[in-house]
Amino acid sequence: LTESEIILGCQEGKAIYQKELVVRYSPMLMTVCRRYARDQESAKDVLQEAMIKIFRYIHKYKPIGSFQAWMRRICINTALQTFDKSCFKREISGLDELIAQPFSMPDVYSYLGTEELMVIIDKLPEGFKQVFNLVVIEGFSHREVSEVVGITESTSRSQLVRARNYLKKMLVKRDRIRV
Amino acid sequence: MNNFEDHIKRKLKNHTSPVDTDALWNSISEDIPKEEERKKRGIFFLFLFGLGIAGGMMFIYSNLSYQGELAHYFHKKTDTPLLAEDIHYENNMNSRHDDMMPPNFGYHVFDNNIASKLVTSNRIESTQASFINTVIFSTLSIEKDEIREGNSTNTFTSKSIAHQIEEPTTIAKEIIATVVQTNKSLMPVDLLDAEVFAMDDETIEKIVIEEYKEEEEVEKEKKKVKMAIGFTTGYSSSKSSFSTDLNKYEYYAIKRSNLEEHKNTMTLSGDFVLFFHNNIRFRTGVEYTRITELFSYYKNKSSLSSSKNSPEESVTNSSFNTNSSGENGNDDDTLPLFTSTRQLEFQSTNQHHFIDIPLIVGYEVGKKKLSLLIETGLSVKIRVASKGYLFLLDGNYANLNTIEPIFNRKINVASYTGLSLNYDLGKRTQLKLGGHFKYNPFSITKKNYPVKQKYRSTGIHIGILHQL
Repeated sequence: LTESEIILGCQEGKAIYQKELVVRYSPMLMTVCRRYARDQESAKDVLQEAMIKIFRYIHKYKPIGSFQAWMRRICINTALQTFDKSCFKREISGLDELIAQPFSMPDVYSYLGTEELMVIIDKLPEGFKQVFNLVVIEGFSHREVSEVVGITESTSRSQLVRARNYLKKMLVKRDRIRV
Repeated sequence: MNNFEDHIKRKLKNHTSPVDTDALWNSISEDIPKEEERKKRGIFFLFLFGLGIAGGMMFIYSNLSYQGELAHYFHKKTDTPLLAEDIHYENNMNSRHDDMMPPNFGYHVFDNNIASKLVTSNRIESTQASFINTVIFSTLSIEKDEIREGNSTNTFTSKSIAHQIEEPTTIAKEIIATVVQTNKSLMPVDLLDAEVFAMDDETIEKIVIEEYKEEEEVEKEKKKVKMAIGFTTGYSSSKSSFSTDLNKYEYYAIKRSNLEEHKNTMTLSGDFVLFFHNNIRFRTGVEYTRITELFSYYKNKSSLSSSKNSPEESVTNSSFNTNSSGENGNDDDTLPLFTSTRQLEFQSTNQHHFIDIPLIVGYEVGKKKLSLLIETGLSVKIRVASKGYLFLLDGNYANLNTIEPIFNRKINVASYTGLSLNYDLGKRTQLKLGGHFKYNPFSITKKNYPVKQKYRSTGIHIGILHQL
């Protein structure tokens, strides 16, 4: 079955195609949900809710952009809807100094597997994690992050810088252990 | 973005996580829209379609109350000459003619050609890929054939492979296991769950049977004939070849002009279309057509005249061959002339109402958003009513309804050729714009009536189709 056949079948409400979509794309979407959810159980809930939304709105999907990107966006939006925005309420003073600091990441990351990287990113504080995921993995601009999450662009920038520093500390710590 | 972030993005973007897809499907299947809801929508459109037809019929019914206009010209003194072109000519007239598979590595490799992907990404060598594909492809083919024929022997993986090569199971497992171990981050391989190896043959067989059924269902779905309904409307301009035999009926002439010559005549039709899988479609439906025309009836008179200024205009007639207007410039008022004149007896605005049933076969060129549709076929033309008056052979006129049996054919056939551009407005809705040509090879009048009327029409149409 090709992607377009699955889309067409789902738009017509045919169960066989709907199930095929779940089987084919849920592993990829689960990774997206895991990155934004607090834990594995929350990720499952988000995936379930996102899947229902995908099927409800698939008739509105237009084959202009990537179908997978469209589904990823639904997952992200679903995950962020349940997200507590209070974790972003941090002071943003000193942001300029933070950005001006030279940033160098230890080479340890090149030895890490995908799952290990996910675990490390998952250890980031909630606000850091969301902004890091949106900007670095999904390629959102700070303006887009501010619209999606409901924070200011400055907050988004500060969260990203802090996330980088946090990651750096964790990787340095890991490098010492490795050595 | 620095190298670290590039690295993360590259690794995480296409990463997949294990999901119990069956459990997920069971938990959401109740909450997602099903085909039945779509069908309900289709029924709604069908209702609208019926409503449109009913509206059309009401419109026709209201038009049937029309009474032909009749103007008397008896004993009118202003006679006009009978001209040769009045006897036999053509006249313009408008008318309304108008996979990830269940966790079964064999199937997975078979369907998605994972081995080839692994070779492409330099994960394994081509000899390994070839081996994997050969073993599993052969195994699956044999197994499916066995199941299809009812000879399955619970020997899906190990025994079937054993038929192919010596110690194949161990080798195949080793290769797959190696691939799994060394390529965890490669998405498709992640799905090759080691649990598969722990499955008993019976479980695997069930999975294969299930997959086979699904494949069959998908194939059936592709070949299924789809239905659509729609509306078409358009302009049509028609010509009618119109003739009578001068020698037999020289005592009268009929002149017809078209009242709707400068009007936009609309065609309205309800379409029912069947789509076949090979781009061929069949269209039928109901189409309403109305023709309005003005008949002027003249009666011939012969008289002896001595003046060219007679109020009765002379005519060029083979029987008399006289012409008082003196085309050769040689006017001679003194000679008596035997002239033939015509007198306007009456005029009638007549209407004919038709219901067309098209039986059209079409071929769609191109399956993209924009496609070309070539149509050809027949259209059965049923005349439902005629209103107005007609001149009779004995010199009188009569209501069309009373002389209908000797005048009009009730049923006629027209040929149809059309060319349209189709534009997909959505997955189910299509817009159609094009032109058509219709030709009635048979006269709408019967053999024993002197006036022969054959219609041919060209027009443009626009329509919309909705797939049920």
